[in-house]
Amino acid sequence: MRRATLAAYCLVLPAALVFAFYITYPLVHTCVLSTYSWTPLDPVKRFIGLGNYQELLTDRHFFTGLKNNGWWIVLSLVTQLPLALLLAVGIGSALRRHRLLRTLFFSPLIVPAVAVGLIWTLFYDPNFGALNELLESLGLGSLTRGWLGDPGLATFAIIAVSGWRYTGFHMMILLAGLQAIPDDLYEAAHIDGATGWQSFWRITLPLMRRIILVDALLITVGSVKIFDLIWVMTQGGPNHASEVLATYMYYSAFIADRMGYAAAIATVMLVLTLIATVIYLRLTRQEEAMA
Amino acid sequence: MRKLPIAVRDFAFALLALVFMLPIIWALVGSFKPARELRIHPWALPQKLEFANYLAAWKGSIGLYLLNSTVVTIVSVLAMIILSAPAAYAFARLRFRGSVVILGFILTGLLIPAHAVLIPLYQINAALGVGDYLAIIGPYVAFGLPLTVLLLRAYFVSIPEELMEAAVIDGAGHLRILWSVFMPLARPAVATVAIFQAAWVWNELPFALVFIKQQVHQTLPVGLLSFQGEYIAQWGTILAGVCVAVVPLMALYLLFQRHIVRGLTAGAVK
Repeated sequence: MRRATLAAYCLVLPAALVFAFYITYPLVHTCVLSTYSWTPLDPVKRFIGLGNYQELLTDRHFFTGLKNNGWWIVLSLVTQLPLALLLAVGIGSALRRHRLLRTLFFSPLIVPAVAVGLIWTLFYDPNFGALNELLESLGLGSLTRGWLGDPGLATFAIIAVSGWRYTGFHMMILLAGLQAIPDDLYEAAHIDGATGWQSFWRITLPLMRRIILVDALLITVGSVKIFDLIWVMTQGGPNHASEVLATYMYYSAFIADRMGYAAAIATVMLVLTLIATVIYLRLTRQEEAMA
Repeated sequence: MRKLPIAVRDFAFALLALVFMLPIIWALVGSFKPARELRIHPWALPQKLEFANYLAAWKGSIGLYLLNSTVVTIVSVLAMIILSAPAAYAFARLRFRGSVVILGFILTGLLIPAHAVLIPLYQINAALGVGDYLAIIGPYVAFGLPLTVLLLRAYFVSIPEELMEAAVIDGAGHLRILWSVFMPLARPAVATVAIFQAAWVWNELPFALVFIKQQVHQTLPVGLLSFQGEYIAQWGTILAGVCVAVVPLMALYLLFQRHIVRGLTAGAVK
């Protein structure tokens, strides 16, 4: 081997090894473990083939989780993406007041997810919560709810919190794409008499499609693995109504003590992530073919 | 949109920003109010500034959690950068067989959910008998590598070739060039990546929840979670704990925010 190549491998190897040890190997191991049945109390593993997956197909809570993950993906995409784009376009300039506003919109991301969950749990409290109190003082008393205690509402109440926390982050990502568009394009369009709306539809959106796709993938993958907020606010309750795959996986592994079953749920999460990534790659490839 | 005067538009955005800040302001104000007042008048300003909640949070060992989180975050982020920088340098500047494949292999980590490796890592930690700190720092570093390598590589690519050639002529080795030419120039990228990863480690819940055995080793997220049960009626104490958890990161962010978009944009364009 050439000396230069050897040197390159030496530089790359430590990172690659740590990555393989903590991520790649466990990933494969999870898939293997999903074909066994065992508990931490009785560590003898019994091979049951696809038994865990068969059971998943009849598990009501698993399907609640799957459905809720679907809500998380769809609602996060249709609310966070447009709002983040509006913010990036609206307050993306170098003006001092725009910089200040951007800092404000970004700040919920700096608050730890657990802290966010705690704040909003108190905020949503049915008896003494600040939200119901606010609604009442605005004369909207009929809108007060049990929020997190309401099985039909809990998931959506938490999705709203997630939107609050992450929109500023997506604004920053889109802003990076926005700043890559050369100013002279807008100047030329302006000279040709284009309105602001026309510039937005004809220049901004088409040139940002790629970064919007990347951001959409981030939102989708983030929605598949969402865990923290739900775990803090409802632990998947009431009665498993706000469960998602990640919370149900945690519940199965460390509360119900069913490790193999939990590994099967984790494998499903992995497959969903893979599907989302393949769809995204297809879309980007189409994009490149069109360009 | 052009028809709307800019001042009106900015006012609307400012109003929206205020609504966004409301829960944070509410939490901050609430942390100075006695529990009873907080429940009966959730929106009122405190009648007088009370530090009793912070005292109670301190007794609930929030200081210990803060210390644990600080140690874990600093060690993790340093290790991420020390491991990633040489790899990013090689991917950006050296031609070698398999570079694309190895980079792609590491970048898959951007998409992998923590839950997909939780059970095997739980077993590995138990089998190796590692301490609580090491049990979480290992996975934190590994999960931080992909983004760190990606952003540093993008920045290294943009550094002019001549600078590297001059160093090579002077007889400097790769590590030397990396340390004294690339790292100083890449400061915005390093700052960006450090702050993103620090925020991630500071906030991380699932690994900390599963891998930390002893209460004295708990990080802030797990510690705060236990506050929820311990101070069920003491809302002010919970909010005080929340505020303590937020302040260090907020300070870090405000200190470095100038760099953040710059570091990100360099990565996006290349």
